[in-house]
Amino acid sequence: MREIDSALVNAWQRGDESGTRALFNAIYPYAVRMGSLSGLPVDDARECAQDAFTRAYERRTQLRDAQAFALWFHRILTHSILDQLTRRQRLRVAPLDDAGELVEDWQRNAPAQPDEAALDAERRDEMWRQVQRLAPRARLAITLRYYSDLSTREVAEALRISEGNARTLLSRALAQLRQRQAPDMSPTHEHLREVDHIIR
Amino acid sequence: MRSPTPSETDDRSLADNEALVRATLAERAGFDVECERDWRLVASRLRFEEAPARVAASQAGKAPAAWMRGALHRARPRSWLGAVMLAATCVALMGVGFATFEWAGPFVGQKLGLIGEQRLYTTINQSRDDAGVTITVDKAYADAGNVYIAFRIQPDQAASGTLVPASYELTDQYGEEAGAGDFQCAARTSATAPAICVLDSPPFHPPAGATSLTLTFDVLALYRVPSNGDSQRIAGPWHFEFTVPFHAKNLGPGGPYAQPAGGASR
Repeated sequence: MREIDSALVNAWQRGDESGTRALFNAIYPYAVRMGSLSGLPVDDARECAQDAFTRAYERRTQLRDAQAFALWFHRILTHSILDQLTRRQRLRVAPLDDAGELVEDWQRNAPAQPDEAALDAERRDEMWRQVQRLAPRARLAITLRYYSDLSTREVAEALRISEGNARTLLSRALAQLRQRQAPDMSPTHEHLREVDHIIR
Repeated sequence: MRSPTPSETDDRSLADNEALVRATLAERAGFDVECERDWRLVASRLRFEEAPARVAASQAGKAPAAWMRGALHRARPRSWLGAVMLAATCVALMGVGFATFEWAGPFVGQKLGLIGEQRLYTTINQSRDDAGVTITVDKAYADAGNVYIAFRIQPDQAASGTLVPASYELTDQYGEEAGAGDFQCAARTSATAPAICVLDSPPFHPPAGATSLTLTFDVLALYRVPSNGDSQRIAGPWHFEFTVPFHAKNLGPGGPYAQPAGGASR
């Protein structure tokens, strides 16, 4: 969810029905998808998104800067989703292994990776299963980072934790996802070097 | 070929993993979310500070209720295509900002907002006066998904009640008649104020490569709907002809814009 037009946010803050509805149409689908990706069934994700929108509306006068609406709403939505997830606890919480190293350069708009074109449905299915096995907070952090494209600092703000804790949370979650992928689906560089040698 | 260092191997592996996570989440997020139904649930919980002026169905008097939201009866007998869905399923137009009520009166919506924000409308500014009423076409827009015409209905003398189109025709230079569209008219604020309206019409289908449409827009009759008493039909016609760029790309699905207070039954 990128920045929302300030004029629309202003209309919503004034309690204008048309403006509020327009804002709802702009952000509601995104909020439902966030909830669903974080592990909620779609109906629960809808309820979460509706609760978040209602709460945001009730607190709309607290928002000082219309330009900060996106992050402000993320905080409310994240809180709503976490509430639901912890209440449900329907997934087994997988303990995290030791933290791996974060790549220093988090490029928000990373260049297209050569492997992206080659990712097949099986790998994505397996990745989805592993994402859903993460603890609720880790799963939400991954969704905020890789679906919503928030920076680590913004993920921290949405989850109301320190930036350092957010980096650790993401790092551990990624490490776990990497380790839990089926071994034969993950191309290793030893394999690529072998292939290269054969081609040559 | 130089072998990658362990650090480079780790970085690449991490980048691969991140790419896979992104692709996985993007794929799983690809489902439609229906806004209209859920908006009604949410709106019932909210308290709004001001309601936009709208024509309420109760003001229709003896005028046919169909003119409010459904298709209008066309002057020429032709198949009635039915109303355009005003609040279609929301689709992922995430991250798109919205303009305020700049070009289409008090009406807002995803597509109207995009058109306003990107200044894609054409200013027409044509007025026609007949039967004591002046209709002014302010702005218009046409693409492969919709035609929008924003216009005002102004009585020449003070006259209370709502003013709405009763029937109209819309054709292009190729002779195609647009399908039955939908009008929304905001309630007038006084006896001398205009009614601000938007026509949301199905699109035209010009030949490939067409870059403009010359539209003939005839408002054939109006209804004046007083708060008490019977509706009055005012015969025109008010005839307009103007050219707008034709955008071959549909800027967005349908043409949903805000419903009158009380909601549409769609």
